[in-house]
Amino acid sequence: MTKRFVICGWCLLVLILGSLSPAISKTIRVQPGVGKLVEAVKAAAANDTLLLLPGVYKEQDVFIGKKLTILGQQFPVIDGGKKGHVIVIAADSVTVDGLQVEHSGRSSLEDYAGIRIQNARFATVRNNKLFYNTYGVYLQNASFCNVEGNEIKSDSKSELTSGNGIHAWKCHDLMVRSNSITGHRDGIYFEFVMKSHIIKNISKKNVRYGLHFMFSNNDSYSENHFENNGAGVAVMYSKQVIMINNVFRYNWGDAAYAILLKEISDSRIEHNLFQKNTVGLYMESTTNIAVMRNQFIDNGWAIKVMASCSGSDFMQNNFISNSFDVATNGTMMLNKFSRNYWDKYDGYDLDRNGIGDVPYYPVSLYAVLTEQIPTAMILYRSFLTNVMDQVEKVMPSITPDMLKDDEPRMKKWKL
Amino acid sequence: MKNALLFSSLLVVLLMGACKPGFQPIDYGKDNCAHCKMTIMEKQYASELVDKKGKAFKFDDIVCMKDYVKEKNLTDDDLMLFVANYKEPDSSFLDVRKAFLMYSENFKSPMNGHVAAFSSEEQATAIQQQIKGRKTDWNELK
Repeated sequence: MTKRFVICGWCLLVLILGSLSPAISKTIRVQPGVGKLVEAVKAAAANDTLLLLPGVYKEQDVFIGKKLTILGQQFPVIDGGKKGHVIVIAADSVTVDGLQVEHSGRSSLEDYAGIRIQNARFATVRNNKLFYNTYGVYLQNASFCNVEGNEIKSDSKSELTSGNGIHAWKCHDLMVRSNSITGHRDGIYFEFVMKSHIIKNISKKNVRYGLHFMFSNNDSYSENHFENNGAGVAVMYSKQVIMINNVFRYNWGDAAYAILLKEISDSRIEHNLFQKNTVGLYMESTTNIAVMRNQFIDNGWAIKVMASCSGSDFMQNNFISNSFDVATNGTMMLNKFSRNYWDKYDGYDLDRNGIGDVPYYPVSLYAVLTEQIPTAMILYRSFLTNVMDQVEKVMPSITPDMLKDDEPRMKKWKL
Repeated sequence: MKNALLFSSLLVVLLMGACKPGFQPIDYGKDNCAHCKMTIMEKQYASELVDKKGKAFKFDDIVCMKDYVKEKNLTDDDLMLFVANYKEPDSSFLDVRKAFLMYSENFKSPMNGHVAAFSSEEQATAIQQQIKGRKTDWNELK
């Protein structure tokens, strides 16, 4: 019965839309050539659809100041000729779908982009290929926009001068979803962006960060993959950021962190996988962060938490084959570690409740030493170091005794 | 014998030269800012502090250097403070106290400091109109 209703409803909807749309909008087919897109945009009326036929369009600063839908057939190439922006969206409800946008300009004062969205709402940039632009998609003063399914890449030759893959500045309510970004400075960059979501993106081999947050509150990022980026992911000077189900891998280097947190408060880091990073989680001046149910596997340091951090809970995480589990630079510890699984724990569980009977001290002697004298690392894994570590375990003298897990779990969490 | 003496004295002179504190080149894309921990990428806003022991601290934004000096309560006079020349970021760095600084929202520096340095007043004035800048100096920075 209900099924019939639904079908009837759909028929009605199709009928209504079918009868209305020809009257208010038309579809214009555009042939490739030099400046053909600019002409077509000028000639079109609001609500029209431009269908770009396959080929090469040599264009610069295609300014879209009215509500248009631009669709590409088999990825027509919009070539900016390394001058200026390629496409500029400056009206509400514009859709750009299925184009290959390449070669924006490059300048030190102006941030030239493949697709720039400025002072606009409800824009959709979907399924495009953005190749060799300084900035891929650049959102300025935009809201309720959707950046989805784009393939964004840049060449690594011009590393230092290249811009970000998806760059958002002073925006709110954005959805950045299922994009793949490689070879830019920062894969995704948020500055003064509120209430936005970053979901299921793949950000690899970017020069600096896979994802970079600055002064952006009430945002979330989940189910993203960040791999092989110059310095991992940085979340700085922000509040209420939710980071769930992400994968951080292969961020190797002297100053590389899977996540760098600086001056972050009231945020959650849950169900993430940190694998083979120099430092998994680096925290400085953070307050009230919940780090729960994450996996830290094969990292140099799983967590570096500076003495300036307070009020954070590290609970129910798995720490497996990291060189160092936790390092810190002071003796004060205003954070809580509880019910984590540590593979280096060698205590016992006499009452068989699954929780070790003696506390685990995750900061090893050598973690303290190398924090003060980084070059001491050269002696790591020497016989003497092992002896010192064992002695320190029996008679703790320089490791911070406040940093401990009173309820270490005997078995791995299934995460 | 004479040669050996000459050689050893030369060695001493060379070694003394090596100990002289001074500017250390920044490895862009590798070095981290001592204040905000970000990787230093933009040559135009890079800056460096060398303390009296000769230890160099590198920054990605002039404002990071200022914040660092304030945070650590360092006295300016003991330090060497270098900033990149905005117009020629690849050439040698400038002494921040002698450089001509300009503030403009159009300078998109990594930490939103919006400050760039120029080697001469003419250079600064030439760009002032274009970027709607305001002149400033090291002591004035917050």
